[in-house]
Amino acid sequence: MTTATDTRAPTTPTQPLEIIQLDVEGMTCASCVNRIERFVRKVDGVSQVNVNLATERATIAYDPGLVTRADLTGAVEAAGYDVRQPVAAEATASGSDPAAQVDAHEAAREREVAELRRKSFVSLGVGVAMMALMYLPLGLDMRLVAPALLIAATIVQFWAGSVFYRAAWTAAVHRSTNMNTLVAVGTSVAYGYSAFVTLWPSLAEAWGFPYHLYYETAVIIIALILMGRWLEARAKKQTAGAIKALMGLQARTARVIRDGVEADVPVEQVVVGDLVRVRPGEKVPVDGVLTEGRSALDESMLTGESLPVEKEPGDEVIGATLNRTGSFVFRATKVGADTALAQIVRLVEEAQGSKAPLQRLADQVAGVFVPIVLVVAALTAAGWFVFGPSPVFAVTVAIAVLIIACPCALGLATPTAIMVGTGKAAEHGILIRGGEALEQTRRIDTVVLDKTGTLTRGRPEVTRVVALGGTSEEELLRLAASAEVGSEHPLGSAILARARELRLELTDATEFEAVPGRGVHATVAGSRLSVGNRALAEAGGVELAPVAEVADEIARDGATPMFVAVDGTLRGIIAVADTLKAESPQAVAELEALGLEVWMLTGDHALTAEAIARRAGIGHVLAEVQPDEKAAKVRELQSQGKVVAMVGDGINDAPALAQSDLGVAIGTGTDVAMAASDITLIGGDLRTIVTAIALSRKTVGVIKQGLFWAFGYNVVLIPVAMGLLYPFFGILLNPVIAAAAMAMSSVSVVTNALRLRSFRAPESPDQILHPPLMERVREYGYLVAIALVAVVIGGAALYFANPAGSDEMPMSDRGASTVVARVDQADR
Amino acid sequence: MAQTQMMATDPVCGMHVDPQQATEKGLTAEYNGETYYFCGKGCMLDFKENPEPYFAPDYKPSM
Repeated sequence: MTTATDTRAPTTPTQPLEIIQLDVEGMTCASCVNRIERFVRKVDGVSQVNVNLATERATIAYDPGLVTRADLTGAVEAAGYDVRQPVAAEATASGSDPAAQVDAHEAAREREVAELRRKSFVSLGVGVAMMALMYLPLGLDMRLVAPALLIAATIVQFWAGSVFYRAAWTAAVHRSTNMNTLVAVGTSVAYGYSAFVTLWPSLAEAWGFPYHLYYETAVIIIALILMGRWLEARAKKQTAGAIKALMGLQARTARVIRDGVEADVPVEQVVVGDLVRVRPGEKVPVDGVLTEGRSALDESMLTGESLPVEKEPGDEVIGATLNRTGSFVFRATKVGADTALAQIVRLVEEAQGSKAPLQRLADQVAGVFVPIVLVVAALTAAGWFVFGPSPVFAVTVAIAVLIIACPCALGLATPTAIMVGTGKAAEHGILIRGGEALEQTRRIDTVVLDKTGTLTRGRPEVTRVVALGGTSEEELLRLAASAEVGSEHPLGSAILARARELRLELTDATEFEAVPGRGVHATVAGSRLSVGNRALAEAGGVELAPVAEVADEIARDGATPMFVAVDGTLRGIIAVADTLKAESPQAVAELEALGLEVWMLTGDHALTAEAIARRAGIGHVLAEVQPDEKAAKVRELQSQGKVVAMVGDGINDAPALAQSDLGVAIGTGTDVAMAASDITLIGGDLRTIVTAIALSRKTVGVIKQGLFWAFGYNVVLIPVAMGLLYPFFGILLNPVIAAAAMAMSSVSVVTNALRLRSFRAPESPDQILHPPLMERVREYGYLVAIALVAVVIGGAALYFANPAGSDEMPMSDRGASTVVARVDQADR
Repeated sequence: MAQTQMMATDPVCGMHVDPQQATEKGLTAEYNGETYYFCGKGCMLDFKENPEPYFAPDYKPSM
């Protein structure tokens, strides 16, 4: 990324630079960012350019003696963009900006969810009351109740249903149709027809329109679809959390030394060149270069590296990393929007902004379905106009087609499957964020696994003990562990942990001395022990030549050799490494059984990386990847046409997780990674990824079936509405048939979704390739049961819908069985 | 009909673009008799200035 590279350019301000922020309009992608940066950089006197796509802001550091603001706006305009009312601001003030934006977003989303909830509940209440009034044998005269129904239905139609009209209009402007078009057209026709016969009953009668009321159809369709949206909106409320979590990592204050006086100031007030003191246990407030003192810094939150990094004067320190042991002073070199943390925030923002929105399954289906229905309705009207009894009849059947075509369970198909699916996932320790994540999973063909913390445990362990001379392996471990008791270093902790595991009895050590970056010295049972790296051993004059080969071998395997010397004589080597999780190879095999291409991503040297990948059974390796290149690597795979799932745990993985088509975070990792991902695996067991993908696929299958059920009944009834049965049996669509279809499709959709509860995690790669027989039997059993229920309800509906009553009974009986047979067929 | 059938790819950045909208906003360019659609001005101007690199077989869209 250009943004990342040019802020890393060394900054040696010889004279005070001024910083300006320009609000740029019209940027759409990273190419726009590149172009503006290129144009602005060409201006003489500009030392740094940073363009942020997500916040639409260019931050430029320039020499005021050479450049004016007009030159800079001119350069942006020359690139083809507009600058909104040039506002000059200190770059440092922008630090809190994204957080404020996130809050605003969150509040807006909160309002949206509350509104959806209100609208769907009110509509559903109205709809249920209407159904009770219309179908329970209360002995009411419909013509007296109808005006009340009209008022209630009008409120639902234009208050709760307004979203459909707006969205349908937007789609129409772009000459496309989607679910909203279908809902808007279907409910409007149902509502409009009912309103007409309610308001002008005598006119309707004179023209020959049957007194049919479809209010509850329109209201319930709106209610159920809004309810589905509410469920989904509620589930994905916290998508903006990644940036907020990242911002939360930043230190709030910094202890700045100005004119020899130390003072705590808000981190926003730290300027480039300030000297900042960091005490043990504190976070480094901004980026800089260490000038005084030494310490070990835990950079795992940013780099994913599990070992603390030793720092001495001249070394770079990164903001938001944790100071472990020593106190030190550093000179700030990057503040505000330029820090590494701000870069990650920007990468996450860009990755989130650049993702093409997923076209939802329901919209895809509706997009094809709507034009067909409109054409069918028009053809029906035309056909009856020519051959039918009257023009009014032609209009009536065309209206009936539009009413029946709008499936009320359409809105339920996706959310019910997702609710059951995500609930089932949670039982397996998988948190899935929203339906898009699930729908996305069906397209995944590549899985990228971050090495550290994902494939490996993320903390070092003893992998090998090489004892020399008369020392036994246990004795060597016991000695080294005794010396390391006082050590806080993870490599020492690994040795200690191993010794405790083997229940070795430790001897008390005295004269403990830690040598930063090298190892420890201690006196154990009268002997002077040193445990540490090559540098420590060489400094102590220990002869290493005899073990050079073994040490090299250990290093090649990706482990760190620790040399143990007693009184200046080498006694052995203990190899410590971040080891593969036990379940990793099986998880990889299962992922491959699912037909996925598995990649490993790591910053390790290629040889080490390949050794680990081989052990995990992974064939594709992306090695020597810098932390800030991870998202770019994912993007590279995506540009090859792959649909990529990224699995990671660190903060530095966040941009890659956001960039990937499906971000999967390991729950034992950082909050930021979880917030940037679509799926979180709580336990950290890699095999749950397999479960997650298998379950997601199953859930998407259920969504598809749900859509089929939602549309199926209505599609089957379209011929009835078209009046195809009319010449033979006198049957046309009426409210009872419409209500039966609604009830049937809702029941089918919901019961179908509930079937997901029987999902079981695949136990082996073989089970994925060959699903057990029982599962298939259960599948068919369900279909048969639903078909039977459909036959019964369909028969009953047709019986009650029988237009003339007694004298046509035999005819309509046959009619019923014909339609039932149709429903039955369609169900298969 | 459905939107999916009408998507074009921006040759510069690789984003999916609705040709209809791109045409309305004037974000198109002709090259070798083909019409290309862009997500925004930056891509279009870059393309118009020098279209060749985007046809190189090893060109990878930057986003």
